Amino acid sequence: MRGGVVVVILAAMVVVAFGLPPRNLTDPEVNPGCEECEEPWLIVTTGEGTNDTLHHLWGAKEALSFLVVTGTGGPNISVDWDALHNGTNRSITFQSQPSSVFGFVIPSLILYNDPKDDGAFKGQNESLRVPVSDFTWSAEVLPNSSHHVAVKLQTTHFQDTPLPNETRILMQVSAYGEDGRSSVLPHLLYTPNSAQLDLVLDHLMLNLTEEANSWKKTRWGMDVVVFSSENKVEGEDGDQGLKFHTQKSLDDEHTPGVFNLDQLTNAGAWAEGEGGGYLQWRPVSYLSSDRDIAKATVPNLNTSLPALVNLTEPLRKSLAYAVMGDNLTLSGVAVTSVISFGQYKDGFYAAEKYTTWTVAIGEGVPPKETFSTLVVVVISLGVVLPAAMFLVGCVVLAVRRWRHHGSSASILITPE
Amino acid sequence: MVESSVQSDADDNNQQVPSVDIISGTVEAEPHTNGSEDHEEEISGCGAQYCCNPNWGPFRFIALFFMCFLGFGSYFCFDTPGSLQDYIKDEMKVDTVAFASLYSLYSWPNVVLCFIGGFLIDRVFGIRWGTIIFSSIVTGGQFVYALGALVNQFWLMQVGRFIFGIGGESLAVAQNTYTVSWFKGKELNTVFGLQLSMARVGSTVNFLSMVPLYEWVQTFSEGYQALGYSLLFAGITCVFSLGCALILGVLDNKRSKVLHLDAAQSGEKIKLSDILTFPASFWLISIICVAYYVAIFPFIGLAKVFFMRKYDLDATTANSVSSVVYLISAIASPILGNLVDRTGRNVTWVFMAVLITLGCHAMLTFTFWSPFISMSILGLAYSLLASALWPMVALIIPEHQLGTAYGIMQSVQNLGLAVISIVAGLIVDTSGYMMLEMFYMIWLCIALVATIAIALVDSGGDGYLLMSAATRKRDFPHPPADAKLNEAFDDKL
Repeated sequence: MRGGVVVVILAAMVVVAFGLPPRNLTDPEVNPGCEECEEPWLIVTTGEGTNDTLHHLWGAKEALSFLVVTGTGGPNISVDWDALHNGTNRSITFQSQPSSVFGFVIPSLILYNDPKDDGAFKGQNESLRVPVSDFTWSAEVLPNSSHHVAVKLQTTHFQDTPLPNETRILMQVSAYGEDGRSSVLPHLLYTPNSAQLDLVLDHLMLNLTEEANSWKKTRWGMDVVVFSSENKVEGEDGDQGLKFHTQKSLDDEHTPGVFNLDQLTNAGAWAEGEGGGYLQWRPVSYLSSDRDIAKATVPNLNTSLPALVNLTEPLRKSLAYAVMGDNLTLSGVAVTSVISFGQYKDGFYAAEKYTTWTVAIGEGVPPKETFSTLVVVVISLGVVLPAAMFLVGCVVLAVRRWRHHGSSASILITPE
Repeated sequence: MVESSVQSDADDNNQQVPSVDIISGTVEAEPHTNGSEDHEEEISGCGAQYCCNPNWGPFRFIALFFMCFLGFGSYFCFDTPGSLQDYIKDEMKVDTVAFASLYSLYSWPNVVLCFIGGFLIDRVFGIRWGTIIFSSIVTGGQFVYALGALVNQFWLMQVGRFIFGIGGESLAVAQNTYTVSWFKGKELNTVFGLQLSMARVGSTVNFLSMVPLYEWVQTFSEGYQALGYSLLFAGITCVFSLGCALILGVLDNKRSKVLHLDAAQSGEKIKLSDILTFPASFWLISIICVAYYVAIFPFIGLAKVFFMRKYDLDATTANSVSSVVYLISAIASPILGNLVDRTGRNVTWVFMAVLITLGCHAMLTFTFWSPFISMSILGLAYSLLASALWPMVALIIPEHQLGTAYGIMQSVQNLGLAVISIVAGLIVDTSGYMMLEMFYMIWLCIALVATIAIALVDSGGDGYLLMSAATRKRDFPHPPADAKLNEAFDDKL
């Protein structure tokens, strides 16, 4: 028993000792320095560390953008708003050149008809791209603390027409200044170098083209562009660039019924300690607000990850271009993919009209899942107690047998 | 179907205990003479044919066929929730807690019925009508359960399972009563072993056949209606078993008339005041009985989706994995029962079985090794425990109290299963399958501790449970439990 407690304490000490140093986060600023901006072009929060400064940049205009920028300069950033509105590169600059930029952009949603019930988007002919710029967004800064800040982004209009109350794309973006685990399913881990995006497609039944309106088995997906400035770092096998990994996890305690953990990282982060960034998510999309695994489907990532070749108009007006500029099209910097939501026999989007996706974005090494303290304690007690009883039992049995043989022997030798 | 397999285990292994002719109930099958001992009823017509003549030796093997299939439908349908778990949850829109209630509701009536099943057979219905009534209740329950799915009313499915539970375990008592009546003093051990294997086969066939059946039904139906039709088709096995009950009633009636036998009785005599005299070892055995089986039956009930999610198996393969436990058990039970009978040392075997089961759950929890491995080993451990644990009751409880003792054990076991099934569902929904496995392992650790405690208690007494079979025969010509009976009579005198 005592041994088990010692193991737990040691484990906790190890975690504390090797966890990342915490950061104090500034309150999120929406469109800092832009008086006439009505929609959330840029949301910034900064975390000062002991050796570096980490900026979280989020935007919902033109393209959904989520960036983690690490540097050694101060917390201030400069925004050339005219340049940003016009799509001129490097309209956002920092006090000193960032050492690492990692992020992803969602320029458009994809509505596709899936008559064969394949689940994933495989380039079906019956598909339609809906630019994110067709939506009008609102931003609300949520109550926050020095180690946790959050912003809620929500659509209000589609193609300048107000959306019905129940129809919306809802995103809650959170940045963290300490290690921990999200309180919302799928309970992803976070670190002081990470943020999390929780996306909800709620009753997203839009009046699009006549053809699209005739589709009966529709699903939603998203175009995604993932980029990293750390493209030169090589992994163990000589690979550069961004790679997809899926890990099997023994522990589904935090995401009941889900044993996999998907990650998109560049080689540096995968090699542990060489910089870079990551996207990390559980392959589950809940189909109801209570996030029950019984009503869930799968987010499918197209893992071929072709390189980004051309900069589209939405990309030019995104925060990615504002920070990275034309470097986005350099070899190994950015890859494109599609994330689509669905699996065989889930009833398509129309069954529940609700889909979630939660992803963590961070700088450096992705956090690793470990057993919880409760599991460690239970294992310790479960091993120690029966083993102790077994040893005690063996000793007692042996002593009793020895005494029994001893008394039998004394009877035999007792003279009549 | 805990009790019937358990009851069969108990009766089977009791019969195999050397020089102890104890079963869970004594069966009175003495010839009833009407004045002339040599009088035999004349048989004519079809009944005079060898196959229909009770005087013909193999006649009872014809009856054996129907006895074996008497419980087949019950065993087959018991695990239909498990084999269709994901479909039930998807189509009926229920979570794991609600799904688990389909097992829990089977156990709840048997917390009480295990005491009165024998009474109903002996005093109220008689063996023949009792069997037919219980088989009808099983069939009716299965059809109500299927109807609930057909009309998309989950509460009706739950009612159906409750009704099914009322009939299921009482039917097992009836089956055992028939068996002892027809085969006592002849091939009783073999028949019990055969029936136990048939019970396991029924469960195995369920896991192997329900998904293909459901997929075929989906060719002409869909959604909850496909589920309902699948369960209706499964109910055909219950109708078949009911037919066996009817035929068996006719055969038993004929046999009784021709051979002048009284109707078979279960002989279960329940006297609750007896529990005050039960030794500590008995209560420890009861703890093992609960703690062990809650890591088996509720686990198998929820295993399909666990295997699908963790090991990325399809529905059919996942069910195949679940069926392995029963398949292995069908083959291994008679062999391991024989092993325990020859070697004795019941406590040691129980300890090994619990430890092996713990290891299997640890494998499922902490590795990604093929689940076929751990489930196969689990089937062996499960068979070994049944062969070693249940006879221990007969070794420490006098014969006239065995009915009460087994009734208590089964009541406690059903209570444990009823509650733990719901708790297991809750754990899956809130904390996932790993925590569920940890939960089962905690219970197995409790069983392990109780086993060690039995060893300590027994070693402080006569050590009968720890002894080998040879030592028991040599040192105790009459089992200590019977000595307690004699002491009780001496005290009364």
